Formats: sequence, structure tokens, C-alpha cells
Amino acid sequence: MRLARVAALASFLAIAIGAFQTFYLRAYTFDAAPMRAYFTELPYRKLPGFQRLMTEVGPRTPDGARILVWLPYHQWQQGYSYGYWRAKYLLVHETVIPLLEMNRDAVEPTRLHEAEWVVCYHTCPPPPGFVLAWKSEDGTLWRRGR
Amino acid sequence: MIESLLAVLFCLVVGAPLATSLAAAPRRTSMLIGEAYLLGSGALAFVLFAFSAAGVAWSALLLLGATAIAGGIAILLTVRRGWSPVRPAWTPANAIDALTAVLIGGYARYATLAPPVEIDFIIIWGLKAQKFWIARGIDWTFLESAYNVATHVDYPILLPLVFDVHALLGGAWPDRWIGVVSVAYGIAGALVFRGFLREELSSFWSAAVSLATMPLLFSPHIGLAEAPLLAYGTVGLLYLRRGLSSNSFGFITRAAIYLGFAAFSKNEGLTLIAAAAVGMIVAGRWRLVWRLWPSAVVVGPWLAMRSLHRLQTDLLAGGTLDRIVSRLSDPKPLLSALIAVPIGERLFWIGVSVALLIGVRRIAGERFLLVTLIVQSLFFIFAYVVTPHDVMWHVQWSFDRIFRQLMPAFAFLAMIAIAPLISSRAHDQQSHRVTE
Repeated sequence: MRLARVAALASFLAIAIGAFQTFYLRAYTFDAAPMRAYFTELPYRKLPGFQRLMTEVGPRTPDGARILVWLPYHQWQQGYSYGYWRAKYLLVHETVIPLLEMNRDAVEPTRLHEAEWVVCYHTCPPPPGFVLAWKSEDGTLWRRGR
Repeated sequence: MIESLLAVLFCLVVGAPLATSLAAAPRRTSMLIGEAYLLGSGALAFVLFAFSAAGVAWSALLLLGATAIAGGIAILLTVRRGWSPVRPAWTPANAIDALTAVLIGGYARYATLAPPVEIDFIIIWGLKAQKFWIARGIDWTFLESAYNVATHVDYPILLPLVFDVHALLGGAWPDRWIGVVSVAYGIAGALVFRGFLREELSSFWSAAVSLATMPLLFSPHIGLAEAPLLAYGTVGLLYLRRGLSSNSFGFITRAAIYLGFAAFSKNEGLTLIAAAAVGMIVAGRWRLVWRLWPSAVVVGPWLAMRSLHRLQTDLLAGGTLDRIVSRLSDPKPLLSALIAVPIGERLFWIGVSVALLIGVRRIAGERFLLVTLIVQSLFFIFAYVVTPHDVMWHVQWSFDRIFRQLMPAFAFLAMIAIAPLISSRAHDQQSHRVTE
């Protein structure tokens, strides 16, 4: 019985230690401002400046605008989808259109016809039928011309 | 932050009369607070869903009006039923609860330091909530669009709707403070969990186990539906266990409502209902399975709308049968993936295993909970058998996260197994069955 009690206490200790998260104690020691800046950028870290570009593009386009996202990656899994899905969140008031065919490494040329705006991360060849509306060091915004 | 805290308070105010008006209401105040949040947030999400289904645009005023009517009815029912809380008795063990509160404070700091960073928040839970918030209703066009398949349009929408409750009441999207929802669900689940522990253990040990298992009830995945699923699922299972052991239909009804909200939170909640039904059958309580019907009332409308709008689940993408045959005929890649990905700390599982072995006789009487957890684990693994994605990628991405949904219940089971050995005050257990 005594052995069983010791084993029971040991199992409780194992559960407690296994479940414990020292992180929640360390959280009190975080320097909030740099940590907040780090966390805010973390989901977009593979595309530096992407978050800034999208948050600046949002107010420059009307709500509900159809925006095609151009990225310098034409492989769905290797780069394009990373920016595309994040752009949907950052441009939540707009309708974001992919340049590529969904889940494929192929540019879908007809997508440009669906778009009213094109946002290019860094640089892109001028989209035919669009005029430059705004630019920053992170990219360009193109509006459909007449 | 004030707006988010007020939204949590509103959930509590709405949920309190619901918690007391349902049968088998908890008399322990701490449990009641936990259940008030669970029921209040769930009910508010349900109200928004109902407005959308009826084609009514959301507004804060409409939400307040609808909940005032529902709350009034619930208060009348409570008065009619007669409910009185037990006076909280402070014991030295509450000093341990203070330590638990310190850990919760650390979690809250982490959860609200910045907007959620998880990609699943950005492309699934947060995105949907924002789209609904902008549309002032469930944006079915967005969900039906072929461009949005990766947002898992078939996923249940309780959490986005709760985010929208915060946005509606606060008048703006609560970006940075969205993590308050994860904290609130963690606290709610932990309070009810603590109450159930108290029914099995002495005041010291129930406090100690609550401290030890605190991180299991607070999802590290901020802004994801793991938080509500953990709370609703765990509370639902523990109520069902209680209902089966005491033959109380009231407890079973409460359990079914919580399991329904679990299913309205994530698809794993749907399989949890099925797993619980299997657990009941194996425990010889198959005649009571139909009493889980309130689950269907809670989640049924969402399933009906999902079907109406043809929102497909990616797991069932074309060629399901071929994938099952292929993976089962060559299970090595799947097994390798499952072995390669650890679920939590190994020490935790060693502790659980040892406890279950020590208390194997006692666990024989816990067939319902044990079988339910095993069956749900098998459902998780089956998802990897049918997945259209690369198995290693899918397992690495989700296995640890989804399996954590069951860890509080496994810990609870382990503590029941060793309760007579560590908690010498078994004689005072009956006097603390305050949920009756």
C-alpha cells in the first residue's frame, strides 16, 4: 500500500512537471514593447515589408475592390500562397484575387481581367491596362486605366 | 482592452441565468462563473447565427435586445426552479489557487501582448470573423468562393461569431485584444474542471491538481478554436461522466449542450459526440445515448446551413476511398509520422500511464471516459488516414495541437485512478458534491 502511494505521488509529480509551462511565469518578465513588435511582424517575417505594404494599400482602395496580388514567386507552395493568404487578412475589406491557379504553379492570365487593382510586392512588370496609382519602397499599387 | 473585458462581462451576465435555469445547476459559485461564460458566449454566438440565418443584419442593439429577452426568460425559470449557491468556504488550499492565478496572469499577458500570430488565426478564424463583422452577418458568398478554400470554409463558426460579439459590443474589431477570448475560455474551463476535481479529491489535492493541469486547459494557440473546444469538450465529458454515474438526466442534458457547443467550435467536437456515444454504449448505457439530443439542437442548424451552402471539408476531397486503401495497405509513412511528432511532454504521458496502471481497478468503473478518449484519439488518427495532404506535413502541423484537446480529460482520469492513494480525505467527498 505504501509503495502504491509512493508510485501514485510519483505519477502525480510526473503529470505536474510534464504539464507545467515555465513560459507563463517568464511572461511576467517580457519587455512588452519589443516583444509586441516582434509578435506583430512574426506571421509575415518571410516577406519583409509585406505587412506594411498591405496595410498602406488598404486605405488607398475602396471597400470591396477586387485586388490581384502579385508576388515575385510563381510557385504556389514555395512562396505565393504564403503571401496570398496573408493578404486576404490584411486587405479584409477588399476581395483578394490570386495571380496563380489555386494550388498550382501556373499563372492564370484571365485573373488580371477580374481585377480592378493590382498590388505588387517589391517590383513587377507593369500590368497591361493598369496605371501606377501609388508606390512605396515595399511595392506598387496599380489601378485599372480607362 | 476595456471593451474586450466588458464583452466578457456581458457573456457572463447573459450566461449566468442560463447556467442556473438549466437542470442540475452548479451551486458552487466558481463553477457557476465558468459555466456562465461558456453558456453566455455560446448563446450569443448562436443568436448571431440565428440572425444571419433569418437574413437580419447584426447590430449591437439587436444583440442586446435579443439577449435581454432570453435572459429574462432564463431568470424566470431560475426563480421557478429555485437555485441557491453554497457559500464559498475559504481554506488554506486557496493559497495554491493563488499560484494558479499567477500562472493564468502570465498566460493572459502572453495572450494579449499582440494580435494573434498563428497562421490559422490569420487565414481561418480571424479572417472569417472579420469578414462576418464587415458584412454584419455570416458572409456566405465569401465561404462559397473557390478562392477561399484554404480558410476551411466547412469549419464550425462559434469562435468567429464570439469574436464578432466582441467587435459588435466594442464597436470596432478588437485586433490586439482578441486573445482575451482565449483567456476567458481557459478560465471558464479551469473553474469548472476545478469544481469536478473537488468532487473527487480533498481541497488540498483538488487545488494542487488544478495548479498542475492549468497549462492543459489554456490553449497556447491564441485565437484558434482550440480554446473553446478544450473548455466545452472537457466540461461536456465530465458532466456526462457525472450524469452516467448518478443516473441524472439533468447532468446529461448539460453535457449534451456543452458537447454541442464543442461541435459548433471545431469538427473534432462532432467526432467527440460520436466518441461519447460509443463510450456510453461500451459502458452499457446505450439506452441513454438518445439523451444527447441537445447536442443536435446546438450544432444541427450550422450543419444544415453548411450542407445547404455546399461547404465541403477538405478531408473528404475526391478519392477518399483510394486514400484509405492506400494508407492502410502501407501504414509505415503514417506510423512514422505519428511516432516522430511528440504530443506534449513525454513525462506527462508516463505519469498518466503509471496512474492508470496503479488504479486499474478503479478505472474499470470509468469505462465511459476511457473508451471515449480512446475512440476520439482513433478519430484523430483516422483523419490522417483520409487526408488528401502529405501525411507527414499534416501530422506535424496538427497532431500535437489536436491531441492536446484530450489532455485535461486524460489527466482527470489519471487523478481519479490514484485519488484514494493521494487524497486521504475521501470521506468529505460526498459533502462536496455541490453540483447536485
